[in-house]
Amino acid sequence: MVKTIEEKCRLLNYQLYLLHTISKTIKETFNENRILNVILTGLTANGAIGLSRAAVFYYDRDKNIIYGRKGIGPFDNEEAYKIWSELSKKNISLEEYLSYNLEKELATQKFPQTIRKIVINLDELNEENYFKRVIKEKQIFHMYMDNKQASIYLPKEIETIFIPSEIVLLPLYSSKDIIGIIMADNAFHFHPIDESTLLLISLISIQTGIALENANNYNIVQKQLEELKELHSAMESMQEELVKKEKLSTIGKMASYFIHEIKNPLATAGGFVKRILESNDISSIHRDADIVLKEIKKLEQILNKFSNFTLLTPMKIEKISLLDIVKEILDTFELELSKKYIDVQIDIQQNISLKAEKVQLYEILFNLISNAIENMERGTIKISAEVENSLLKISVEDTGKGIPKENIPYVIEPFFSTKNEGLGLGLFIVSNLVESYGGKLEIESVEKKGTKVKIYFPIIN
Amino acid sequence: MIKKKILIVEDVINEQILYKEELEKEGFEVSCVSNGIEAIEFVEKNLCDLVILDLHMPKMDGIETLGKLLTKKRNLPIVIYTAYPQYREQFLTWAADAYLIKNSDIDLLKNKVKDILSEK
Repeated sequence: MVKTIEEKCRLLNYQLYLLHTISKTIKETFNENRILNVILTGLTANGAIGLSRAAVFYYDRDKNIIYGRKGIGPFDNEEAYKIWSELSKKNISLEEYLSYNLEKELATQKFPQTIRKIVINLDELNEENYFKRVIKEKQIFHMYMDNKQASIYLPKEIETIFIPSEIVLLPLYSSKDIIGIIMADNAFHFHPIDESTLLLISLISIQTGIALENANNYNIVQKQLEELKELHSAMESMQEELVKKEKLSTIGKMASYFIHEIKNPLATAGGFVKRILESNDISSIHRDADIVLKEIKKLEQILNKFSNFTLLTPMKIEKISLLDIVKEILDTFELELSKKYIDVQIDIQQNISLKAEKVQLYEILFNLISNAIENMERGTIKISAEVENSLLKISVEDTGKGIPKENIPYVIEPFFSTKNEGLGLGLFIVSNLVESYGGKLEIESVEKKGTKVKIYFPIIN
Repeated sequence: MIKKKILIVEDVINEQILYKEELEKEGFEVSCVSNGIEAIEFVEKNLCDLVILDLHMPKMDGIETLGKLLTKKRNLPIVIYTAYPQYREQFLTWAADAYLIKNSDIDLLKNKVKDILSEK
């Protein structure tokens, strides 16, 4: 008697350990297939619960059918002997057993294969049929069944796998409703299925339902995440498309300006050459030739600017660190900065980056910095960046001579220049480029105090 | 004979020099300004028989200048001289007596100016 109690305690202890291990294992995964493997393996593991065979069926409410999803166990005596003798030789722990990859074996064994093919139409079953009752009454059924009883109380689709034995049928729940049935039996070895085993199985079935629901939710969330990702990448490519279109229209605008602005120096140079040909006065020839040379240089400048103008190169948008590119540009001005005693302050965080074509961003910042340097002698250039109302604001501020108030509205117009050298294209190009990214340019300037040019980029991502 | 007076409105200095000297060779008295605002000021204060007008200029573009000049002096002959052919389509430029595209052959401009002034 004492021994029996001790044995019982040991058994209970073991079963608790089993329940713990199985629920722990299925909580760690969101993979439905893996959950089913663990459950079915747990139910049928020798030395665990020790049922002979177990299967999971899913219930399709809309079609009112039950279909076999997965089964584990032998099909007949011969297979039973083979499986169990092989397993007993291996002597593996429960955890190892639960993590065992079954797929290969399940694909060749007859019981799992048969289960997968079962489809039961509940409309065709009589009211006493246990499959129908589990779904309807949401109860556990445990009974011994012979062939005759089986033909009355079990669906005919089960017949091929049925062996007279104790059978357990349990409902499988999600938080909302019944989602299927777990079926298990003690065929071949006929170890009785006692009360504590039943309790254990029902606890496992509850865990299974929850785990399956979690897995399903996880999959739904994953799918939604995928959809969101697709949507996001579609939006990104749409945005790129828009930038491209904007760029094409900018190209058209720029090309028209460039082409016709070439005509001006060309006509002037031509006019002076004609005068040279007609003139006999050496000094006026000299002067006219000098003008021709200047006009030709202007032509060269326009053409260089145009071919450097990267609107015509293929689009390659990349993520660029703002601080890096600013430093790169400042390096090219090192000599000039020290010659003119100009101090540069940078207030840009290393992690600020933006998506743009590098050459274009370079062109934009190069123009702003070069303008600032040209307009001052001793002083400070402040380059900063910050996020303002979901726009990235980059500003270049100098303490130079500033722009006369009446000129401010014209500085971004093409070919506006107060410099003797230069084409007056710098800010025009900058504002067109910034606009092609959906951004804008602002200029604040006070004569003799300095100029602050701010550019705003919309933040992609 | 009194020399006819021509005003050149052109922001590029070398072009001013070229047109001025070439037209002076033809016996005209030539003055130059660099933008529309100066042009309007000039015709208000000085006698002027014809204006040669560039279209792309800072401060006030040629088309706006054209309108303002004609408001001041309704019968003032104006020759638009530009690198841009597309403004020919703009009806505002139709008020000018001629629309010439800049060319290295200055004779085209000279002949047009002579034609217009001899008609008057």
